[in-house]
Amino acid sequence: MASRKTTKYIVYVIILLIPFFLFFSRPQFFHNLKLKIVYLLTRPIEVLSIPIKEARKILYYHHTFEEYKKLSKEVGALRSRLVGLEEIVKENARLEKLLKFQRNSVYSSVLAHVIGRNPSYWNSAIVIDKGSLDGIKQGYPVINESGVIGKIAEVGLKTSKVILLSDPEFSVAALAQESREHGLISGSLSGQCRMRYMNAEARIIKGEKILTSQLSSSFPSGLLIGEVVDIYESSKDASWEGIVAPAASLAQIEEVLVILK
Amino acid sequence: MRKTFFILSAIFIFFIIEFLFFNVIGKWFFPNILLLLIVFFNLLWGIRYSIITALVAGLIKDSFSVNPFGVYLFSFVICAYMTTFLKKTIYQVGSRSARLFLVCIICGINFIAQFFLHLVFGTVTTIASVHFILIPELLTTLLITPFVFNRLKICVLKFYGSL
Repeated sequence: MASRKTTKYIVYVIILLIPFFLFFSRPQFFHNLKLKIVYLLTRPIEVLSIPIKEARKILYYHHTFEEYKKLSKEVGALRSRLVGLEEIVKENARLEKLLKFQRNSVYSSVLAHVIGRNPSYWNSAIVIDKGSLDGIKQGYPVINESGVIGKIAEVGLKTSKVILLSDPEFSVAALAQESREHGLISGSLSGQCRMRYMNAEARIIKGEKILTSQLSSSFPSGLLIGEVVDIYESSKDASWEGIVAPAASLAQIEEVLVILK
Repeated sequence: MRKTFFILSAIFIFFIIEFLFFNVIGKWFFPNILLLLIVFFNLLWGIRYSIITALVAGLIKDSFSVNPFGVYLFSFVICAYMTTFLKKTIYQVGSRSARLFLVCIICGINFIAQFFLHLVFGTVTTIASVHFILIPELLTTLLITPFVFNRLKICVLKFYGSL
């Protein structure tokens, strides 16, 4: 009887220790397993999301209609401006040819739909419906029309996980557009982005645009990250830190572009 | 076997609810309903079923997370064990306040376990974690505890005829 009880306790201890060792050893087997679980569960989630998405569309109808009217006006104004610009573009192309200028290559990208956000207070991540079959690899930058969204954290065959700009684990080298100050953008638990390690003599002002820097190994330079909303002196060292509001609305992402290298 | 099937179905449904709930409302109201499931099955059928719930729920949560594998698995298993321990010490059968108190402590234990695992990477701070994770999670989870427990009780009664 006593030995049976001891065996039971040993089993309980082993059950407790297994996840702890898994956490530190990180075997490849579990990486594949978790991506398979994600793939299996995305189907019912996608199906159940349809009525919710439709209901949201109806709820936001007025807002969408107002935005449509505003954008229609903007399109009209931009079209009229384009008439003059077309001539300049043609002239530019001629001059480029003349000077044998090399154009910057346009990044090839993959359009992906967001399946859902990872339900967790600790992380900010989304699951998208494109994976390694579409040429996506770990670390690839993810953007939308407004700016940087995040980067690919894990890749499955048909799904991938994107770690968002606001996640505490995310970081990217950044540059202030006007003052040309370099820093490091990272997320936080509050959902805000911080730009850290800026020079003590940095002359960054509120409202300044923050772009990805050439120092970044994973992001192409010049992508819009957001704009500075607050600046303060770092409590840890002689540097400045800034709060950056992301250009893209991270809470309402439906489609993203994954830049392929 | 029937119990295990019931538990697996409940985990699947609860995870889908949690996922869709989070995607509609966001971080403003995000109770940890899978944790409630672990506590409920522990109170109802004992540690063995609570561990099964913890392992499967942890596996699913870890699969969707970008954290290293094992964070949820470990914290949920600890919660299952601690529920058994607390059940014997502070819990009084039938008392609603004792049940809420138990859920409150388990929520705290879940937070502490996850906090220490996140601390290994050095990316979380204590104040921010308490402010942005513990307090909202605790409040929202406690708020829906009576409702979830009642619904689960009704489901179990329908399937098994008795508790």
